[in-house]
Amino acid sequence: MGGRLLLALLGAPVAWTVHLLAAYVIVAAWCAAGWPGAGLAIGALTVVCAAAAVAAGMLALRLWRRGQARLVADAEPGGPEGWDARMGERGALFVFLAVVGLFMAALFTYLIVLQGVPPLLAPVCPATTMP
Amino acid sequence: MRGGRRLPQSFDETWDQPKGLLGFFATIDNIPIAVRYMVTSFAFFIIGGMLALVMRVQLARPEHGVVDPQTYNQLFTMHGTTMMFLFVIPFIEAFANYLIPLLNGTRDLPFPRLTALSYWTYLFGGIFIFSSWLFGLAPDGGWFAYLPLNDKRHSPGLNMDFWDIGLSVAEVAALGAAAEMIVGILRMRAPGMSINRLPMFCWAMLVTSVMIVFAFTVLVVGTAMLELDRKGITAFFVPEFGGDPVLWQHLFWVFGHPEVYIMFLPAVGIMSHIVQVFSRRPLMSYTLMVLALVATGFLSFGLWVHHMYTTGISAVALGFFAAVGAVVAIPSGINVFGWIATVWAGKPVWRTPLLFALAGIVIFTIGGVTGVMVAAVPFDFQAHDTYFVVAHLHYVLFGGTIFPVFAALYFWFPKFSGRLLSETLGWWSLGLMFVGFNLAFGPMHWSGLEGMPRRVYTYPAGLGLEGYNLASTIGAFTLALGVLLTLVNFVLSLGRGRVAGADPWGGDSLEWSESSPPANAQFGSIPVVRSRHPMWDQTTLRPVDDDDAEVVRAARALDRMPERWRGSLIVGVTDGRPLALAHLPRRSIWPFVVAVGFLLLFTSALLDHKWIALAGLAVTMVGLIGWFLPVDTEAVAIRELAADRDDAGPSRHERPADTRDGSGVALPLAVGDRSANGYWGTGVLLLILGTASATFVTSYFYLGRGPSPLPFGAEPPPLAPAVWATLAALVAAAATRWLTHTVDHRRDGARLAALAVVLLAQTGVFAASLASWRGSGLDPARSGYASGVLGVLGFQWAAVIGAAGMLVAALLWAWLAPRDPRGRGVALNASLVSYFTAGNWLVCLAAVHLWPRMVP
Repeated sequence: MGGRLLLALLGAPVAWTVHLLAAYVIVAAWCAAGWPGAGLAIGALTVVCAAAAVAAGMLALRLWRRGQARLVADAEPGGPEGWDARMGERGALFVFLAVVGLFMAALFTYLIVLQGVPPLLAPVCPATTMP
Repeated sequence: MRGGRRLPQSFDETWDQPKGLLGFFATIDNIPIAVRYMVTSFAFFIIGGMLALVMRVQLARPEHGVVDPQTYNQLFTMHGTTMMFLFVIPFIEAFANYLIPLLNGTRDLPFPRLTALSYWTYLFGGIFIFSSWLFGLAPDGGWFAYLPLNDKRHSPGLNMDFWDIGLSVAEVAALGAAAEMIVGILRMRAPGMSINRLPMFCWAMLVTSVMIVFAFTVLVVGTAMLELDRKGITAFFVPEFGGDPVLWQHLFWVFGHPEVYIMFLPAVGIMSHIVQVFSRRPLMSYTLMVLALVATGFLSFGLWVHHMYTTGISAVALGFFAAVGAVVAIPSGINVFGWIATVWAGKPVWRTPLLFALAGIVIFTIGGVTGVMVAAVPFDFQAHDTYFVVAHLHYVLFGGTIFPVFAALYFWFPKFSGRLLSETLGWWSLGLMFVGFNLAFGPMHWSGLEGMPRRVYTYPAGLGLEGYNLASTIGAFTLALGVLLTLVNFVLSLGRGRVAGADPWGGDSLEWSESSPPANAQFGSIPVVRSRHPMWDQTTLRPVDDDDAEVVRAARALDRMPERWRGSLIVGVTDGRPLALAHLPRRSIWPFVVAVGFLLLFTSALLDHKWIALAGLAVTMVGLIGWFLPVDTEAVAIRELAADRDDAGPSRHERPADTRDGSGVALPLAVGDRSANGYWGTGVLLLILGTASATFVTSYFYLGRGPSPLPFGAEPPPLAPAVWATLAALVAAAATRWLTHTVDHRRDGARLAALAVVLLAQTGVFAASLASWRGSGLDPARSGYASGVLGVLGFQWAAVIGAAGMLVAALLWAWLAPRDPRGRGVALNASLVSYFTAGNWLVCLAAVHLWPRMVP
């Protein structure tokens, strides 16, 4: 459970980190080596990373639904016994972390798509770099 | 401070303060250290502000001759350095040192000796940098030390060496504090404080500390590279040898931009507390506010190129970073709207802390808007290096840090001192600071757009800049007057302020349940948390009838207990479930000794003096050995709780004893397995080491970018020794696996053998990789490529030496006290670092040996 929660929370920002670094390296190294297709590479990268971020969001959504169900169970009299029900409010904990994960996914998916735009507006490897 | 001394006999004696002069240096409690930290850093704030006032006097009139250009360079360099490294970061750490245990409902931070070490190294580092004024050698190359201006050829004096080396000291202190905060916030809380009940300041410090680990490590590596260049050992940044000055800018700003948020995020935590307490309602959307903190933490690392738009990076790459620059406004906007909504929906009580916080929000928002402007590439081309940027950054830092810090001082001063501050003086101080600030920095937007450049000691008459600058100077002095009034307020209130009582504001979090100032043994009875706002929602902080048996057990185990050693509770990271007790050391002179050793080492690095270096090394070693000698109260703790430890079975996972009624079972002691704080602290150390390694490897690839990583005619280091090193690394990794197995299964005899094999194999890695470098014939002083190789390999050697030190300590434990659980703990910690160095060798192999042979 902990691993999937962590994935739901941090999957999208990690996908973004990969996107930013890889796109930057592609522009620097691809162009320096004189290889063609840098724009296409960045486009493919954007699709892959955005898909990963969306997947993390979907996972967060599923965990959120499950957490909601637990909240209901917790609220019932004689619900799950022991630590979780009375002190830790495990349902509330999951809902909280899942919602954070959901918003993280939305924010970072948007950013990944936004970072995919510059290659559409300007040549990735211009003949001369800017001043 | 150990040996044949009498052990404390009661709870109060266990938690008392050491007395006398020696006691002053031996105290490691979070509160006295935090107070010293605060006073020291506030003194640096006053000094840094005075430097700024001298600059404003110089700029009050065109072609003014108050200071010469050289002095002006020193002034702006030291102003930035002092405010960034000697005031804001340490002050926030001081605050966190004081408040985190109080907010978390626990008795101290997990590594009290590290707290003390951080303070002493920071104090010595600050004095070290400022001592440069005595010799007329104050740093003068900018707080960012751009190259090639700051290489040895263009800045031959010791000025920037003072900066570079003194800064390293402050960095070490910051990293130590970060490790402390991460483990403290994640592991040491009141029972029931699950992660969704964590106070906002704790969330903020958690994110900030993780950012410090990544950002400051890059700076440590960068400043080390700069100093090696300045000593003529390497040529990382020397273009004629294939180095690259722009690499320095990358390294500096990968640190420098997150640094802005490292300063801002704690303020988000502070403001959230103040806004909700004075609005008399819970913060609007805690969840979104936490999301904003975490998201900002990530985004801040994607913004460094923001500072480098004019360095010639291609337009498309700039586009990526401009996107991040625009999107980071979203989480900041969430914060700002969250605060406004909270005030709006609440019944605000207009006291000074809230007013300071709101003033901060207004100023920060203006700074944020100009930040989005300079994130737009074409606008930045125009505004770069002008006073527009000076205005922007001061709006961000004053709104995002200084005003919140003052708000926090007004808010928590009663808790720190037991006295309330004067409201009247507070209002006057705020008014003067707010008006003065806007008068000082508002006009800079216009003078900047008119083209007035930064960091120039004067400007000619007749360009229409006179009015703006005179206004700025008047504003700066008004601002200083406002700060002075708060200082007067402190002094007056300490003497005759109204007595505050435990909870003067009707606060929601746990610190208000303790006396003001808190007793050294804070939370003699640990509180039980059932809500995000325990002081508002709970009728009692004591366990009640329908509380879980585990909570009852934990509360009983810590009710003015343990008596003969300092104990505190360890809880589950997310659920706040009580897991174990941690032993905390009582007092120790060794952090001070180690800090003195560091000071000597850094002085020797400045002066290239062999004997000072040897003395520093000796003092540091003595200090570290003293530090790691067994602590007698810990032995008592182990004996007391020995009956409750299940020493027969494996301890792979933390398993709280499963007793629903909680009768007759004490909490286990977190020592010698993966529940120990030391193990988690070593985890943070691995993050630091990994970041450092990544920085060296990235720099190596950066210097070798282009069609071929090798300069013309150069050969990579020979492969044969590298093969041997790889074999040794694989043996080391396998033996380390064996080592952890012996720890987990309590095979104490086999542990000695496993440790010996690991140590031998690690020595093999070291020797073989050294031989590979020796055989390469590369000259790092005259080759950027060779410098890159030396960076990657040199870091590996340093890491192996550190691992060897830990392995030797574990070996001594296994040999002299094989059944002591502390020895198992040391072995486990050493195993983590041993895995790291073995893995890091494979990275070295791939980067240095394989990559240049693969890419022709």
